[in-house]
Amino acid sequence: MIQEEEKYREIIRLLNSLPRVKAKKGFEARLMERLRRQEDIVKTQVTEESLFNKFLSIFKPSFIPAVAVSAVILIAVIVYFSYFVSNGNDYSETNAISDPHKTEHLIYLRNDKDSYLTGKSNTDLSMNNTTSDKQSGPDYDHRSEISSLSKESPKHSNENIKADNETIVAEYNSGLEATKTESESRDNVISRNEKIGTDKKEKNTKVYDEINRLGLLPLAKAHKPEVDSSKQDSTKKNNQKDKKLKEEPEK
Amino acid sequence: MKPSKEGKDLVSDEKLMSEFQNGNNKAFDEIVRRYKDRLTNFIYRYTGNYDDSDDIVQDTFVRVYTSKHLYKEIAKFSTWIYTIAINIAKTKVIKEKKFNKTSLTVETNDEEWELEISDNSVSPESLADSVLLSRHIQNALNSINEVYRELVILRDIENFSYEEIVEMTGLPMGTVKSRINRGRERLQEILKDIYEGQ
Repeated sequence: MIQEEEKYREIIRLLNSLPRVKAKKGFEARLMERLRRQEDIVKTQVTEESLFNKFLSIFKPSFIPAVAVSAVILIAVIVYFSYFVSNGNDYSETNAISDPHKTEHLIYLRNDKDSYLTGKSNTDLSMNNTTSDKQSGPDYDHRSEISSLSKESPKHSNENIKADNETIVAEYNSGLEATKTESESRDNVISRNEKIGTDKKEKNTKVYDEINRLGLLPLAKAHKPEVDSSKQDSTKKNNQKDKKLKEEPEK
Repeated sequence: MKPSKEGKDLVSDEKLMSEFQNGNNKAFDEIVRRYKDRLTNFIYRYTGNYDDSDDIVQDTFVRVYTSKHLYKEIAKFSTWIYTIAINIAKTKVIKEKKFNKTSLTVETNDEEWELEISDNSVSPESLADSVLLSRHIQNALNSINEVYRELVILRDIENFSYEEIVEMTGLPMGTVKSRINRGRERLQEILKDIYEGQ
C-alpha cells in the first residue's frame, strides 16, 4: 500500500495542494430559514397523521363488537321502517280499491253520465252494473238489489228529458208554431203535475184507510199528513197562471 | 482528521450530536459551524459546481436536523454526515446528468449522436497561475468516473482513512483501494502535461 502511495505521490500532492473551498456567506442564516420551513411542513404532516390515526382508532379490535351491534341495529331500523311504510301504502291503496261503496259510486256516476250523453237505455247500463258487481264478489246480492231499485226512476226521468228535448227541437224547427207547441208542452207538464198530485193524494188516502182499518187511528191522527196551506195556495196560484197562459194564446 | 480534536474544539462531534438529540439546538449550530466548510469543499470537488455544492450541503444539514434520531453513537459522526452528503450529491449528479444528456443530444430522423465537448487543455505556461492550476485539476477530477472520483476525493483531499471510507461507502476494502488507485492513475494520465511542465 505504501508502495502504491509512493507511485502516485505526485498526484496526491497536487490534490492536497488544491485550495479549500469555503461555504457561501450567510450559509447559516439560510439554513435556519430552511429548517423553519421544514418544521412547519413537519407540523402539518404531524397534524394530518394524528387525524388519520384518530380515524384508524375506530377500527381497533376492541371497538369491533360495538360497531357491529350498532350496524345491525341501524339495518334493522331501516328495514323495519321501510317495511312499515310500504305496508301502510299498500293498505291505503287496497282500501280504496276494495271498498264496495266507493267502486259502486264510481260505476254509477260514469254510467249515468254516459246514458245521459249518449241516450242509451238504462237496462243496458244496469246489466253492466250487475256484471261488474259479479266480478266484485260476495257483495253481489246487496248491490243487485240497489241496481234493480235504480232501474225505474232513471228510466222515467230519461223519458221525460227526452220528451222535453224533442219539444225544444220542435220549437226550433217549427218557427211560428213554436208558441203552440210550447203551450201544449206546458199543458202536458201541468197534466203530469196534476197526475202526480192525485197519485200522492190517493196514496195518502189509501195509507190513512189502512191505518184506520188496523185500528191505529189515534196514532195516525198524530202523524196524519197535513196538507200545507202554503202549498195549497201555491198550487192554486199555479193553476190560475196556467189557465191564464191557456187563454192568452187564444187571444 | 478529527474535528473534535482540532484547535479549541474540546467537545467531540458525537457528544454534540447526543446533546442535539436531547433537544440542545446550540449543539446543532456548533456542528454546522464545524462541518459547513469541509462539506462544501468535498461536494464542490465532487460536483465541480459551487452553487450546487451549497445546496447539497444545506440539504445535508436539513437531513441531519430532521433525522437526528437515526444517528447512533456506535458510528463516527463525520462518516455519518459525509455519507448523507455523498448520497444527496449522487442523487443530484444523476439528475443533472440526465438533464445534460438530453440537452446535449441532437436527434435527427434516423441517427442520434452526442455533441463533443471542446477540449479545455491548458498550455504549461499558463498553468503558472495557481487558480488556473486548481481549475485544471478540478476539470481532471470531473472527467474521471464518479465511482473513482468519490473515493479519490475522500482519500486524497479529505484525508479519510481507508477504514472510514469503507464505513462511509459500504464497499469492501479491496474494492475501495483498487478504485482509488484506478482513479489516481486516470488523473495522472490527464494531468501529465503538468508534470512535464514542472
